[in-house]
Order: sequence, then structure tokens, then C-alpha cells
Amino acid sequence: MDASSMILILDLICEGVGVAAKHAELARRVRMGDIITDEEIKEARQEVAEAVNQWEESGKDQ
Amino acid sequence: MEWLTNHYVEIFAIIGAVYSLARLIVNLTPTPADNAALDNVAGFLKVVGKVFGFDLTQGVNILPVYTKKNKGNVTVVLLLFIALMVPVGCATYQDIHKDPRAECVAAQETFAAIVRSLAAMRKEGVFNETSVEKISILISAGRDVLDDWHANVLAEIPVDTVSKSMFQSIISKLALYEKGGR
Repeated sequence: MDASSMILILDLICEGVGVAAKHAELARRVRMGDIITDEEIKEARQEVAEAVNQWEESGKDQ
Repeated sequence: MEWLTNHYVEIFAIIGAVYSLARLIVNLTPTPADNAALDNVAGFLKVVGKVFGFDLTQGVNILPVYTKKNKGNVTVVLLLFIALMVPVGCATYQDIHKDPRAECVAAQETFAAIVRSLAAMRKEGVFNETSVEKISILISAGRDVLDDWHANVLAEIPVDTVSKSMFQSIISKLALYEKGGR
């Protein structure tokens, strides 16, 4: 396996672990009765916008 | 039989990934009947997996070999990503589903993570032009669904099940995308 493939796989693992941790924290907060604020929902939307932008930018390097 | 004994590691990796993907989809669908059905499958897989020394609750236990020359493994790599997301567990998602605001955040974070992963794979030249076009359409559709979902949650309007089903369908198509690089 070459270096770029290894980095890609590590990237994917980091993404997966990162999301899993965020979901676990969300669930914990729901159990505690915490309110998810409008700001947090907007931040998550911003994350989507940035990810879509990354997808579009990734084609420009080809 | 000889082929089976030579390739049982790969077979279990794929079974683990498929099981984990199914778990993700079921967890995103708040239907207890689905969860119960999958739990039965999980029980069977865990018993069989232990016989071979695997723990399928952790999804894929081996890293698939991915090289630019062997781009066909991209699906397994992506499933590995999904598999790593899943060990959070069914109870976690059941809790998240209880709160529409948390559910909205979780959906957006999941989508963003998958899109970022696909972008990383695209940078590595994994996908051909046709695949990129199809994935782009799915990403655009997913973003539109999430935009509506986001707006409804902020306005405290219940999100209909059709939108959720559409989102689940888009996520599963993105995750299972297997034409990449071929």
C-alpha cells in the first residue's frame, strides 16, 4: 500500500471516529435533557456547506 | 470449499461491513421492528464471527488494500468508514431520534462526513467522470433535503417521514457507491 492510500484510509477512519464521537455526545445530551440550540443546528448546516464545497474543490485538482 | 477456507478473512470483512452499513441505515430509521430483525441477524453473525476470531460488532477488522491500481476496493474502504461510525450503538441513535433538533444535527454531521470522505477519495483519483457526475447529483439532492430539514426544525415544524426516507436513500446510495474508479 502506498503512502497516499494509507493517508486516505486514515482520513476515512478519522472521519468515522469523529462522527461517532459527536453522535455519542449528542445522545448523552438528549438523555440529560439538554436543549440543542439554534446555533448548533446552524453550525451543522455550515459543516454541510463546507463539505459540499470540499467536494467541488476536489475536482479542480485533477 | 478450498476457496472458502482461503478467503474467509475477506468474506467476514465484507459481511461485517454490510452488517455495519445495515445497522447504520436501521439506526437512522426509527422502526423498532427493523432493529429487532437486525439484532437477530447480529446475534447469529457474532456467534459465527467468534468461531473465526472476529468481533463483528466492530465492523471490518482488516484494512482492505487500496491502491490506485486496485480501485475496485473503494467500496470496501467506504464501508470501512461506515463501519467505524456504527459502533456508537443502537441505543445512541434511539436517543437522538427522541429529539428532532439532535436528529437534524446528527443527519447533517453524517452527511458532511461522508461528503468529506468522498472528496478525499476524489482527490486521489478514485472516481471516473461518470461516477463524479452521479455522486454530485446525490450530494446536491442530499443538501437540498437537509436545507428543508434544517429550516423546518428551526421553525419547529415536524419533519415528514418522506424527507427522512429520501435522506436515508441518498446516504445509502452514497455509501454504497461502487462504480468509483472503474
